[in-house]
Amino acid sequence: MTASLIGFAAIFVLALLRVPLAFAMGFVGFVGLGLVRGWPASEAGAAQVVYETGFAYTLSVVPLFILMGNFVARAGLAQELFRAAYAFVGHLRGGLAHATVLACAGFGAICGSSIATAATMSRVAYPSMKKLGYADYLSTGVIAAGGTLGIMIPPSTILVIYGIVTETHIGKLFAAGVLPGLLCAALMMACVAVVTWRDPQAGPAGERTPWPERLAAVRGIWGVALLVLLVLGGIYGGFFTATEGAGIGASGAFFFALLRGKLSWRVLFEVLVESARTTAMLFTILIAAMMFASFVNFTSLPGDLKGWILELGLPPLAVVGSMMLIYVLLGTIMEELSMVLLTIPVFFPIVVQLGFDPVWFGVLIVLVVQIGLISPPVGMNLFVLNALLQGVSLRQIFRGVWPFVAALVVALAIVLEFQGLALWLPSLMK
Amino acid sequence: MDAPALRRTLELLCGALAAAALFAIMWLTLVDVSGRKAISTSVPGSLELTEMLMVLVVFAGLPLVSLRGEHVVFDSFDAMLPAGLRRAQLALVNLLCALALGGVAWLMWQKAGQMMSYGDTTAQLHIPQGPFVYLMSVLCALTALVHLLLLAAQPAPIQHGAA
Repeated sequence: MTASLIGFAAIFVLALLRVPLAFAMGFVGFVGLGLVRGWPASEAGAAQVVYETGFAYTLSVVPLFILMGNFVARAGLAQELFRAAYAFVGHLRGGLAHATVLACAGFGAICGSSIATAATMSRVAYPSMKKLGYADYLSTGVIAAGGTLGIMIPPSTILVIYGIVTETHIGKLFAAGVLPGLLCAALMMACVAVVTWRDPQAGPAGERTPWPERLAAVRGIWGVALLVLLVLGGIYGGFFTATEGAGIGASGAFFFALLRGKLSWRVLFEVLVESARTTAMLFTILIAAMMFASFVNFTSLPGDLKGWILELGLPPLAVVGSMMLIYVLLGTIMEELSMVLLTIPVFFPIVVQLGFDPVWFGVLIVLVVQIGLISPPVGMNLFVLNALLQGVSLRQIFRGVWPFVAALVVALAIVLEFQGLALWLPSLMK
Repeated sequence: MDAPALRRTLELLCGALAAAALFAIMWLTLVDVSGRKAISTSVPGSLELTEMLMVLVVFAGLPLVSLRGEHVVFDSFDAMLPAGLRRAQLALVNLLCALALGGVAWLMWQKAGQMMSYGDTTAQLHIPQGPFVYLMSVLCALTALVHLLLLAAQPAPIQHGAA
């Protein structure tokens, strides 16, 4: 047990010294395994992990979903989603902020990344909100929070990686994300309503859009809606595997961008390389986390902790609740994907032992990642907005995001208490 | 070659390799799946081909991630460190990354040699796997080299998240 605690500490020290997290995890995992099992075993283990992760058919789901999101982003879809959402809710107080949440939810059905969703929506929604005199704290808060819908509403990079690491069915995980994703969106809109009720100046209402124009706005997005339905419906109905669905989705998005005349050779090359880079970055973390996991699994920590928690005889929900509390606190200062991958070898066996459904736990993991992504001081979505919106200070962004952090914590509590919210849709799958 | 030219060449070469492989995976999956669902014929060995192509996407993408400093780092303390100390810190980090990647390159080289001597091939198309593992090794070594070059050049790092 001491060995793996030293390992965790070593990773934190290396990370504080600014060693990339992937390298810190891989290095500690390699050295740790070498010390407890001997160097030949550690070398063979590392070579095997790198080899197997490189040659993995099922993992091609990751770049294909990333590619799909990037193609659709380049096709200018975010703009149209936003316009369509605005046509329906723009006349409400805080209408542009409501529209931002809806557009983020729609974009999240194509894009599996929170950061990409927030970055794309900041280019589309922020200028409109600025023009109508929205307070910066509200507009940045809602974009940062809305962006996190990208990882809850399927497809989702985090759910794919969770599914791969824990060997949980990715199609079921996707289905499980739908209702909690809608719940998050609804809570965020409630949040906008409360903020603009307390400070009406922060989000003035826009003009009402007449019905013919509303329908026209919807017509602009039906093509992509169809693609989403085909991909997610196909995976849900058992017609495709997740990997096949991702390939169909990426191809559909490619033709979509092509037909709109948004793809030059140069843009195509950029989209492909960008997707490959994101893939390589994720795989580095994945490989390193697996190396670390094989070290942790060899030590007595997972078993000791499991035995200790079972001996305490706590109510199972309280155990999972404490894990969530740890995640939310850690998430304020840590990068979320690494946090999840680091802790899964320790937490996951306990959750399964307590009799919980791994699919439900996956949804909880996404919720804590969402919270971590927007909770100051270290929240990746906040930094991305700060980098993209030059005129807004990080302090404004921090100030505006708190109500949304609270909304997501409420969502977490609801999904903790009502497991059916996550598990009902997957239970209908064949 | 000067540094910017070296950088452009690397971006173009690795970029082209990774981009072509990813595009090929996309088409392969499309043709394979639509063939299987519509006319019950799949591309023979499509699974194996995807696996080989994935190696190219991931490992040709890796030097570019390092080159652009897109690995996830915890950099909240950057502002508090004096410039001189930061420079030393970055040098140390790049050295460590180069070492780690060099180590992986060496391990994969051994593994490739082993696979070559056993004559390991894929199950369906009988493509020898060794050369692909050699390529993994070479691309890891190249990434190690990128970190050594960064150690010499030290541009401002960009931060990025994984989720």
